[in-house]
This record gives sequence, structure tokens and C-alpha cells, in this order.
Amino acid sequence: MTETAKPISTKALIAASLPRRYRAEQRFRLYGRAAILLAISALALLLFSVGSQGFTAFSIYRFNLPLQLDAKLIDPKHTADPKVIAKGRYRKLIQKALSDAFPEVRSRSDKRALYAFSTGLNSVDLRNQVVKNPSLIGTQIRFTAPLSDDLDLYLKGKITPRKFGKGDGTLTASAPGPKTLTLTGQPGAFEALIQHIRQKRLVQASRLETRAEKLRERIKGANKEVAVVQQTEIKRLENLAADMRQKAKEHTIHLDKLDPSILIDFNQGFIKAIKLSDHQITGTPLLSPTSLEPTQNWQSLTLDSPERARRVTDKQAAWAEALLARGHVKRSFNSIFFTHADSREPELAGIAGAMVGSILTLMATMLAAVPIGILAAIYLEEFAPKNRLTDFIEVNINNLAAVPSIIFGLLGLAVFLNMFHMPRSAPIVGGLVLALMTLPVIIIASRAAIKAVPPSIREAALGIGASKTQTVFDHVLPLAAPGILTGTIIGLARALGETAPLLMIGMVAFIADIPKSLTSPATAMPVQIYLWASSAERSWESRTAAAIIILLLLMIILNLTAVFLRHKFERRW
Amino acid sequence: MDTSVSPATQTTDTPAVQQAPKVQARKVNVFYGNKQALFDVNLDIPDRSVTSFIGPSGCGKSTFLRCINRMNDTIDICRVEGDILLDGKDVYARDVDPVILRASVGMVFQKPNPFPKSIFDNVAYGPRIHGLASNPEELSEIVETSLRRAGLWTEVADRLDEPGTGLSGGQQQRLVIARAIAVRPEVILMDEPCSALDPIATARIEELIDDLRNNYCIIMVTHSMAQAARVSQHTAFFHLGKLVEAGPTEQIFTNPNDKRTQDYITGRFG
Ligand SMILES: Nc1ncnc2c1ncn2[C@@H]1O[C@H](COP(=O)(O)OP(=O)(O)OP(=O)(O)O)[C@@H](O)[C@H]1O
Ligand SMILES: [Mg+2]
Repeated sequence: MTETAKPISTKALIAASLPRRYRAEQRFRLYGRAAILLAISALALLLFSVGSQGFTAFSIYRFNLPLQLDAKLIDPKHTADPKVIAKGRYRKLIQKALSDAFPEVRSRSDKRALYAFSTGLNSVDLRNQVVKNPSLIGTQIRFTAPLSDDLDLYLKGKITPRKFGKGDGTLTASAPGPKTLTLTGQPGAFEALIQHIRQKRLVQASRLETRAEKLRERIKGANKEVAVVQQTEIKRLENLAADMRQKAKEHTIHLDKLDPSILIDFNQGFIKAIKLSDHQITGTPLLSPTSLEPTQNWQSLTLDSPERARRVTDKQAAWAEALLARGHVKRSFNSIFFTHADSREPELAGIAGAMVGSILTLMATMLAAVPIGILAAIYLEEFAPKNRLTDFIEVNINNLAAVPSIIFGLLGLAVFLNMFHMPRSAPIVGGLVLALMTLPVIIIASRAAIKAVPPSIREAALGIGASKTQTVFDHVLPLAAPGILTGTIIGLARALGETAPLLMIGMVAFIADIPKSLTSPATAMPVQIYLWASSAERSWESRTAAAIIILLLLMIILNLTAVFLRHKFERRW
Repeated sequence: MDTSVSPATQTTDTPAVQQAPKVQARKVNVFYGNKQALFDVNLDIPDRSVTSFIGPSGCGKSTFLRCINRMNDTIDICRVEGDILLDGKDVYARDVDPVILRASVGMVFQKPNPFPKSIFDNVAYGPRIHGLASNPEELSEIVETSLRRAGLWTEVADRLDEPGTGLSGGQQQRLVIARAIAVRPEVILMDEPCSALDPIATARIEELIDDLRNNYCIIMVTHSMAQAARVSQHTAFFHLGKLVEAGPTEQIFTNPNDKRTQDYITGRFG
């Protein structure tokens, strides 16, 4: 390049590189937006899945039945002795109330199915009511208790979709036999139901065919013996599928155990369809209609998953629907979930115990970790001489912050439980273990906040004769407070969500009481979530999700507090 | 007394020199770790006058200034040798508490550094921690007189509870001076007090320094020759950690003994 060209070429060079630079910037922005979008959609997905799951746990179906407090079953000798009253047969009373609601239920197995509407533990509640108020004995009360979890789930549509179809035209009934009813409607009244069944059968058939196809693929490379065994299985599946396809063509549908259940709500009774044609249904009454009068006020209820495959039988479904229709079962706010501790029965389980446990634990953590952490940070940052020892300590504090939390749990187990013999499962121990875990976080955050205070403020204070301590507490700390608070709250929020160390010190036990003090056995919310999540029954699912929602809410509140405090105390200098 | 340069005591025009020097430095050596920042500084500074320290950047003016109120104590690696006498008493003696020392040797920094508190609290903080006022009225009085002396009262009298950081740079610097004089110091150290200010604010501060001279011993670091000439009665020239020359300002500026002083003042290096 020539000398004279230089000044021009600088400008030209810059101009030439500009598009590239702008492109780089644009690309960077694009990446940033994509990253944020990804993060937001992940968050939205999490919130949606947890929210939609957990939402159902915030309401619960309760039954409300007249209940005769029969003296014979409570206090047959009229002793009025609280001890005798406490031993009354309350479970039986509740069962009688249920029987009274459906007098036609006679057989043993049916009765057992009906009694399953109420959990055994409801009798404790009834007993407590009566013991508190013995004058109730001999009177009729209205007893309200949560419906057992399976029925609750059924009514929430979580066991099988409850699809109602409004009845079309008048329906007349006749009883050809003692256990059968024939319902006749106008032509085409049941067409939609038939179509639905046919379609279900076809879906079923193609599902069987895919399974057979997959098996066929798999045995291609397998040895002969396996192939022979699988071959019969394939044959079986294919036969079943062919059968299904055949049955889908039936003119009159004969419902079998693989088909959805179809119940007809007719004059306050429920008839389960067995044979289904265009205008006529033959079936067995699950709950007898009050009369056989023709009516236009009928509807169909389709339960898609076959009866065998679900925990609620068609009969139970019919009773639940009847109770709902009579107003004896109502959906209401699930206060139990917010006021009770854990329970074996999902419908009686609540998050309150774990919440109080978490709060107590967090209190212990706060009392132990916050003052120690902040004071340690102040000492290290402002007073400690800078030498090998303090360097060593600094490195180790940073290391501690990275130690997996379960190690702290083990430490707590060894030190607090085995050496100091502190109580197991107690919030105080949990709090101390979490304090050990949060301490390095608080120290590091506080030191950073203290370090960020401009030295000119320290000089100003020292320059007019403030002592070191006065300088720190009058000037440095107030300026560092927002940072310290933020770090502390973030550390505490982490402690709130911690499970592993609590498992080690026994806070994972089943605790059916709300803890009353720092030493009473307790569990914490994340542990409760872990416990519920590993329970098999379906109803725990929504409760787990609901507990997660509450834990997330607590976290959000904590973090908002951090933001709020930071804004409040933030000063410019 | 040492035989080295102590020119402040040699001149006779100002009344201040008749008294004993307020601050005396004897063979002061300062080290930052292994690096020596000041070499054998001997200097006498008279009371009730303004003494300027001048010299090229990095020559140790601030270091020396900070020795006088032991601000260097806050720097871990800083080590001070030799004696610094305040009213004939060694400030580095064991029985001298830096807190008491700093109460009587106030300091104003290059960048105004008011506390992020109200104007009132900025000035009241010193008297409060030293217990100079026995009741709130007395405290308000101290605050008012200090602000008046610093020439700030009329500007802030009606907004004492507003944050000190909300003032303009020049006002902040005067607030900081008010804060320093509120603890009734004998000596005020100023490290380039006007370098962050515009000419008008600078003029205000210079006026103020001139006023304060009647009651205090003021020691000021400045990079402005004109300012040193305008404001100070005595000037000390530092170069590469050594005190090259010190004497009455007039003499230093018109008739310096040392070639280096001459060069610096005339702007040949620095
Ligand atoms: N905290 C410190 N740590 C290490 N060395 C320092 C420290 N402060 C000052 N020094 C060194 O001491 C020497 C004198 O510094 P000093 O700040 O006293 O200079 P100065 O004359 O005030 O300069 P300026 O006019 O730029 O303010 C410089 O070489 C500087 O690098
Ligand atoms: Mg300096």
C-alpha cells in the first residue's frame, strides 16, 4: 500500500468491514432472542404441565349425607362416658348413611363397593364431632366428608372421560326380565353411540395390528425358538384384530369387556347397555329408575376406558352420578389440602404439615446462617489480614459452595444426629444442615456486595475519625445491604428447594401431624413432593403438582422480596 | 532540629511562621511493599496558612499527605518510617489513636465523596460519633456553622434532608469540607480538591480555602501552578519521591533554588 493511499484506505477499510460487523451484531441478537424464547417456552411448558395437573387438587368432591347418630352403635348403655363414646362404631354409621342413600344395594360385594365412597379415616372426623358434642347422639346430622380419591378422580374425569350425550326424543322402557330393561327411542336415537363404538373398535384393531407388525419386525433377526413363540403371539394379535374389525361391522352392537361402557341416565336410574341398535338398547340397571314412565329427559354417559381397566366400576360411577345429581356430592375448595398434614389417604392429605416444616426449617437456617454468614463476610472483607491463611479460607469457602448438598446431609447425620444426639426428622437439624449449605453462598454474596462499596465511602468515614467498626456498620453495610439481602434470599430460596440433605437426616418420614416446634418431627415441601411423586395411586399426581405449585409460589414470593428489598435499599453514590 | 530543608521556618513575612510548625516530617520513608514511594522527606508546615504540594504525577504527594492523618494505615502493604510530628508529637507513636488523630486532621479527597445520606447527616455524622454535641439543638448548630463556614449554608439551608449525593460537584466538595470542619480539626488535608470541578466551583473552593486559612492549618495537593500561587503561602515541590524544595510560595515561583523546580514550574516537564 502506498503512503498516500493510507488515509483513504482506513476509512474504506472500516466501511468495508461495517456490513460484516452489523451482521455479526444481528446474528448475536438473534441468538439472544432465540435463547430467551427457548427459556420462556420451557418455563411456560413447566408451568402449564404443573399448573394443569395441580389445579385439580385445589378442589375436591365432598359428599354430604343425612346420618343417623344411632345410640345403639355409639353408646348402647347410655353411659355418656366420653371414653365409651370415643369407642363408638362410627365407620358403621357412615356406611349406614351410604346404604340409606341407595337402599337397593343389597349384595355384599356391592355394599363394599358403595362403602368405598368414604375413607375409613372419615370415621375419626365423625368421632371427634360426636365426642365434642355428645348431645348429638340419637339425632340426625348431615355429615360432610371428602369423597374417596378414586371417586373424586372419576368425577374430575381423570379416570376416564365422562362424555354425556343429550337424549334425543322420547324414551320408553319395558322390563322383559327381572334383570334386564329394554329402552326404545325414536329411530336413530342411538346412532351416534353406535358410531362411537364402531370407531373405537377400529382404533383398537389397528392398534393390535401395529403391535403385531412391530413383533414381526423384531423376530426377523431372532433365533428360531424365540421366533416360534413370537409367531403364535403375532397370530393371536392378528386374529384379535380381525375379530375387532369384524365386530365393528356388526349391525346390532353387542358390547363386550373391551368396549367402552355406555350408561343411560333414565328416570334417576342408570342402565348399562349390553345390546345396542339404532333405536333400541337392552341393558342391566346399575341403579333402578324410579319409574318406567316414558321420558324425554334422558341422556347417555359414555365411559371410554373399559370397566376392567379402571379403578371405578360402572356401578360406582352410576352411584357417583346419582349422588351428584341429587346434590349429595358437591365440588368445593379443597381446604383439606391447605390445613392438613400428610395422610395415607390422598383425599385427606395436605401440604400444611410440609409447609410448616419448611418454614420452621427455613427459620432455623436463617437464624444460623444469616448472622454467621454476614458477620464472616464482614470480617473477612474488612478486618481480616490478607495472608496465606485467609487466602486458604477464601478458597475453601468457594469450594464449599460447590459441594453437593447431599454431602452436607451426611455431615449433618454424622455430627448433629450421631455426635450431638439431636432428634431425627427435626426442623432444627434440617435447618442447621441447610445452614451449612447456604453459609458459603451467603458469605460469597455478602463479600461481593461489600467489595462493591466504593472505597471513597470508607475513606470519607475514616477521614473524619470514624473507627473501623463505625465505618463498616454506618456506611459500608447500608450500601452493601441490597446485595447482601439478595444473596441471602437467593441462598435461602435454594435451601427451601433442597431435598437431598434432608433425606439424610430423616426428614423424609411419613409425618401425619403438623409440626409444632423446631424439634417435633417434620418434613419439608420438596421432600413431601418427592414422597408423593413416588406414590403409586393416581390421586397423588395432582397433589404432587399442587404441592409443586405452592413451592414455586413460595419461591417466587421469596425472590420478589429480594427484588423489592434491593429496589428499596438501593442508593446511588 | 534537623539540618535538612525546613524552609517554611526560614521566611519571615507571614505571621504564622513565628509560631512553631504545626506539622513536621523527619526522615519520612514510605514503602508500598518493596517499592519505595517517599525518600527521606523532611518538611515543616506552619499553622494558620495554606501549604501546597506540587510535583509531577506519581511523585508521592498523596502518599505524604496520607501519612499525616495515617490514612495509609488502611493500605495493607504500606509501611511508613521516620517521624511525623503534629504539634511536636509523633502521630505514629504507639499511644496515638488514629481515630483521635483523624478527628484533628481532617481530609478532603480529590473526588467529592459525600455519604449517601442527607446533607444534614453528612455534616452531623462526625460530631455525632465523637459526641461533640450533647443535644440535637447543639448538633444543628454545629451543622449550621460548618455549612456556613464552607459557604454552602445559603444554598442548602432549606433542603437539609435531601441526599448529599444530589448536590452538584462543587457543592458536594464544599459539603465534604463542611463535614471535615464539623469535627473541629486543627489541620485540613486536601488532595486535589478542585481537580473534578469547573472553574467557577474551583473559584468558590479557593475562596473558601482562603477563608479557612485564618483558623486552620491547610495542606493541599494541587496540579495547578496557578492555584498553588493564588491560594497558598507555602509550597513544597516533590519529585520522584523526594522533597526537592520547599519555601514561601512567592520564592518558589519566582526564584527557585533547584533546577528541577524551575523546570517544573515553567512547564518544561511534568
Ligand atoms: N495503594 C498503593 N499501592 C501501591 N503503590 C502505590 C499505592 N498508592 C500509591 N502508590 C505508588 O506510590 C507512588 C506515589 O503515589 P502517589 O499517589 O502518592 O502519587 P501522587 O503524587 O499523588 O500522584 P498524582 O499527582 O497522580 O495523584 C506511585 O509510584 C504509586 O504508584
Ligand atoms: Mg495523588
